[in-house]
Amino acid sequence: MSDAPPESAPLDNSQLLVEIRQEVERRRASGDLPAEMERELDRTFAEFAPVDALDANFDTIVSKIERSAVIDLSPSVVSAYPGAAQMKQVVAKATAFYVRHVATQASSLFQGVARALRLLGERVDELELSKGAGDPARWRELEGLPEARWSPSSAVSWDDYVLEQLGAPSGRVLHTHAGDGHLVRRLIDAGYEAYGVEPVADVALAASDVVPDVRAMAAADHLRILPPGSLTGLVLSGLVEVVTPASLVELVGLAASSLAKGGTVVVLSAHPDAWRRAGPPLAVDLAPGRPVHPETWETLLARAGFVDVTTRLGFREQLAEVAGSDAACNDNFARLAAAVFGPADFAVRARRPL
Amino acid sequence: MTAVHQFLPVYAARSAIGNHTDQVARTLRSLGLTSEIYATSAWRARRGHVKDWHEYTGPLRGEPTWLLYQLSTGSSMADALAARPEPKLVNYHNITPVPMMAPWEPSLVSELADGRRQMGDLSSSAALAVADSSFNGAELTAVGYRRVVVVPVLVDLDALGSAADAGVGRRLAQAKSAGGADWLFVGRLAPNKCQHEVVKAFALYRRCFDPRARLWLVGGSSSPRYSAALERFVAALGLGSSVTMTGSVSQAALVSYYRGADVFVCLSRHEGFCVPLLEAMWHRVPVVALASSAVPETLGSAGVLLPEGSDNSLVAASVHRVLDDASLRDVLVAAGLARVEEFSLARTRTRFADTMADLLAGSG
Repeated sequence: MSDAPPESAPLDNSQLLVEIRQEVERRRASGDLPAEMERELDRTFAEFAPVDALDANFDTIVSKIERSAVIDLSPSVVSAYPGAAQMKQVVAKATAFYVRHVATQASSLFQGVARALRLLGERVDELELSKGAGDPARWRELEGLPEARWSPSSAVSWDDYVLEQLGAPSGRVLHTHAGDGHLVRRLIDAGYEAYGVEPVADVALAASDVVPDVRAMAAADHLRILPPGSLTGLVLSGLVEVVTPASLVELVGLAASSLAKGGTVVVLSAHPDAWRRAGPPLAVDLAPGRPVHPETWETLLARAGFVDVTTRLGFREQLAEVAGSDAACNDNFARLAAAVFGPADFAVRARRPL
Repeated sequence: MTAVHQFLPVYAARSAIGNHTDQVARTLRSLGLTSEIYATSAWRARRGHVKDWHEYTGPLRGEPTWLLYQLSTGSSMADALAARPEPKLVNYHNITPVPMMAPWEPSLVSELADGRRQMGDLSSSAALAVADSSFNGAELTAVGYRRVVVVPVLVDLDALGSAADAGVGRRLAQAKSAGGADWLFVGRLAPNKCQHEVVKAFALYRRCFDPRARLWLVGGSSSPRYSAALERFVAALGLGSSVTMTGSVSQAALVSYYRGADVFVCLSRHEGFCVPLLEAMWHRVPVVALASSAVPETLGSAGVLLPEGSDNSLVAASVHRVLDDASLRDVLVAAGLARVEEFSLARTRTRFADTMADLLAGSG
């Protein structure tokens, strides 16, 4: 079949993928390619896969255990060998009473374990609610918390800073909680192979007007499935600030493993205005997580093995532009701003060691 | 005369490692070396072609002898070889990572884990390790091999691809006459090769682009539990008449499947090299593949390479684009043929022969 290859232009895989992703988004928007169908396919395969082969959540796994607790007492008796099928039938009938006796006890045990797991899960849910922990997205659903509360900084654009820190375009860059996709767009325009994830499905869909690849999923969920070292740049923003402390530590660990050697992570803080924004009292008062100080990010990143960790404060940079090069004056402005306006928004940048 | 004998746990004719072992034997003999193949068991082998490894008792008197171990799984053979005094070489084809196989085939865990352990054990006594790919080479280096050379799998595509099975060809042509594209993936049914992801992408493709499309999954099974789950999955999706799992097929039938295919879709998460990519390109079948493990370096820029973590909608849309865009298909076919040329048997044999010649010259 193989002959001398004809001459042809080389394939631009990156550009091709951009075009194909745009096609996917168009079809998703039109309903031709429903995202729900992908999830349904995953769920269907999960029914036949062993529990420990699933990359699934607690409820999915417990559901699978519940289904597995009912033991099938009708083994296949087909065989390609002559007489073997009849032999299997005889053995199945002869041992049926004993197998049923054992299976009934085993089923009872498994059903009891599954029920206990369900109850345990419900207790954990209650604990999370009472302690204000857990998934912020669920709180938003429960309390009708306005989306705006969780928006990333809007007063100061960090886009230029991010571009500056990422350096020359190479490899893949991920923006978690990409929102409307404007930063991903900037990165793509600047020559990066960039994409985003956004936990709010509607927001992710709207972002597809701006960029070809913003996926509807949470930061940690996406980072978990990435192969180690597959990113050269990672921008964490938005919801990453308000997860539980344990999730925050996990997120930093995932960032470390997903970045290649020499890769850069930039953490963009939520703007203080976002924290002062009004909402339903119950939702505001019981919202999980807290704004994270830059020092905390610095510590977490350093502990995860990042080096060259630096913080840049938003307000001070703005004041410096107003006040020119007078350092003492800048410091006074910064102190005054901190007293009047509260904490500044900030960005923390760190790199994986080479 | 110097001898370099090959050892492998299981020799299976027509398998990638079986074919490679045969080609290595020819290459070694072409260098004027004595070379036999020893295995614990042999499948479909010509009489006398492969010897029971217990027959190997040591070097002939005065004959410098090297032992070349084809490493792809765990085996008691590896431990026995490690204890032998002859200088050793390792040809590493990678070992399926335990976490990928363990949930499906717990009984294979010890074999795979043994393979990883033995890979490490042999590092101190192996004078040289040959890796199919840089991906494999990096694993060898990580466990302590001091001298690692990358030489791709030796495969004679011209010989393997020449004869087709007319019966299979007729059946495929008959299916094609009803319209619809033919997807193909070739490889053992195994969880790390992710045929279930191919089925998912195929289901999306049929729903959105081509309701008459067919999928052919060609290859035997290395996990009965995974194969059963895959069959039930296909049935649950109502794709029983459009997805065919052929099982192990003859070389001629394999050629027919490649000739009948419109696109080769590889969503495997773990490949040490992936010979079927070369076969597909040799047969002018455009490739859509996930950029995992050694796939990117085998495929080069000759296929649509999807980033790891891509969803199946992207796979389906990529296949649609390849089949719908004639100019893109032409580019991929041309690039594939050029890529295959880089892995031609003449080139890989020369690289292997040069590597061996350097080693033997250096050993005095």
